[in-house]
Amino acid sequence: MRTVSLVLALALALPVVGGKRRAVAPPAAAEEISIAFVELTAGQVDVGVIAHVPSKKKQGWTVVTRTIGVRIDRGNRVAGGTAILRAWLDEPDARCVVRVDGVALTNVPRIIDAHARIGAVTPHRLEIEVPVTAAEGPLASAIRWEVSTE
Amino acid sequence: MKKFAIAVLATVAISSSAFAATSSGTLTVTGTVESSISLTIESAGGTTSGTGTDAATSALGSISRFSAAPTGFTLARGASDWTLSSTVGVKVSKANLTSTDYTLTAQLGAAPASGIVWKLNGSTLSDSAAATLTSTGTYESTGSYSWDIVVANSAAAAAIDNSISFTATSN
Repeated sequence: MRTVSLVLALALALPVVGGKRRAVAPPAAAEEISIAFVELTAGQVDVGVIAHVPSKKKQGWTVVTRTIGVRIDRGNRVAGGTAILRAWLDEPDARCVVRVDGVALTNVPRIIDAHARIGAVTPHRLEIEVPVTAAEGPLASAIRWEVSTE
Repeated sequence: MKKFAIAVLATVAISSSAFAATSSGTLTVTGTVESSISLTIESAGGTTSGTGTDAATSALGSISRFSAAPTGFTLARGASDWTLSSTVGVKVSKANLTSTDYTLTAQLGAAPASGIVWKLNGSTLSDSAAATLTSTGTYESTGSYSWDIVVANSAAAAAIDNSISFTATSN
């Protein structure tokens, strides 16, 4: 504890001791970041009719696949760097499994991309898997996407 | 001097974490799950191809009253006709459907040649009306139906080619 106090005191004192005061930069504003879905209307994907076609690939399931473009930007529009992209189900539909890039989503955030590029559109594979035992009818599921820098 | 360096590094680390930012968005996925059933021919007499699909073919080769029966068939000779007998295995699967059974019918694709009678499960087939094979078919189970081709002794020597269309309807 004593050592720490001494170090901090030394750091604060140095500019004065040096004789020439350094210019102090103004505190940086909090970085802004945004996430957007490319070429989608109102953030919605309608996969249409999901009808089972017998297949030996995944027996007992109907799988519908779409590609979603996700763009991450900084507030200052400067590209470069990466961010962490997470996703989870805000409103799950119990009749289907939703996967993003092979990751099955639940109501717990899962990392989709630990190094998502900022300033670029990144395609993500969205899969809707419906078992043949599921009841017919409309299906809806809301996926929450979160991007963060550290 | 060493201690000063440590102090500066600590300050940078604290500032960096203050720049972290988070943003989120919601993607809504919608669709409509539609119920469906599918039918496959699992087996049949003759030299078959396409079993396990909805378009199988069975070749009997040359047939006659006095030669051996084709593969998968038996031959029975009557006084005025002779009969080739086998079975056809039909499987119906369902998806996203609450129905518990189905009705299966069969119909010839063309009128049979003169002196030739096609039968499935004991019912004579025609090209004008479908014959009901079962009205309580069990899904995911292969139903075996007797298949007879009755040839009159008076029938002309000619090809007997035909097709049988199966139709499954959920109950």
